[in-house]
Amino acid sequence: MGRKIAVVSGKGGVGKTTIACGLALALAKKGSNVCLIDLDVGLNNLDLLLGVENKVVYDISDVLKGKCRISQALINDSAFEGLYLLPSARFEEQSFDAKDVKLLSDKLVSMFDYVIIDAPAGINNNLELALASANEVLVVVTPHVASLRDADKVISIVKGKEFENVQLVINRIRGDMVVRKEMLSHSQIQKLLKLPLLGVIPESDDINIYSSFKFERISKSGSVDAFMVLAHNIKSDKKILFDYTSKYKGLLGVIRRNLKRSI
Amino acid sequence: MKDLSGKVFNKAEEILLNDKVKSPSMVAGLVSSEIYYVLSQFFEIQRNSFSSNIHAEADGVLNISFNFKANRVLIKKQPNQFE
Repeated sequence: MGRKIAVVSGKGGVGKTTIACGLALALAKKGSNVCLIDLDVGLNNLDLLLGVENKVVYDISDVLKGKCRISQALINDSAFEGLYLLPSARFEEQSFDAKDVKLLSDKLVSMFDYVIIDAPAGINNNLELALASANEVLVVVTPHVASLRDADKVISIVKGKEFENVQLVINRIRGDMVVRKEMLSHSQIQKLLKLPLLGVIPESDDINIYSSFKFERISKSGSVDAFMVLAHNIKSDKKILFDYTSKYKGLLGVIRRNLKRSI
Repeated sequence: MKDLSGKVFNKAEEILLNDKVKSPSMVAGLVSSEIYYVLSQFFEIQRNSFSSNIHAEADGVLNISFNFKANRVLIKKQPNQFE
């Protein structure tokens, strides 16, 4: 039986979709069968990040309404055999029944090793849908107070339900700023939110540049390694942390830090 | 080197703590009426003596207490099973 993981945050723009997408790609690269469900209804972008936006014919609302079979709505990422996307409804405001979405995710989890659910930002019905369809939760935060505050509220909601695993992923952390003590470190964030830390994804220019971001396009970025470590942690239930500060330490590190600051 | 991250940490800690105190205050208000009802089955509670208090400790743990004064314990007659 596979695992159903909801990726939530609270605040918008912290990189939930990027984390869901990057994690799914990394798991697929490691040989797992992965299904991404886009539950960010109306504001869906997973198809764009995977570069399959032109392949979308049916979406989750069509499956739930019985207009098509699950297999007809699933889109395969051509780069990875085991990676599929169930796209979100694109335009209309949809209100799904939590039981129907849970049944759908239960069907999918029998077909895949991992079902990763991209939840919407905010505290609303669609967040409840995402939580109802998962049995594990990844809370994505950035090292900013507003993100931490919103995440703390979402954690309160998540802790009120029975989940097997609730873990933290820190996104967009900058090693140079952490070394200069200008940004919250992963240990400070973990101390504030009191959740086990599953992984850190450093800020990456490559991810910002490539709107249609795929692993083969950003293969030289440190973020790829960070996503692979995150996927390894998910698969093996370990807590190995990607060292995002190493290249900013020592003599070369001082030069890199200063160069980064002057830019 | 200025420890800006330490200042941000302190600010974040303060904000999260304030948020945590606000929501249980509301919850405690709701719960206290339920607790008052249950306690009034067993005690004759002095008028205006019932209060609830939320105190956030330094480590973020919430200390929630309900306090009241009672004039007497109410002993209710148990129904006789042979009646």
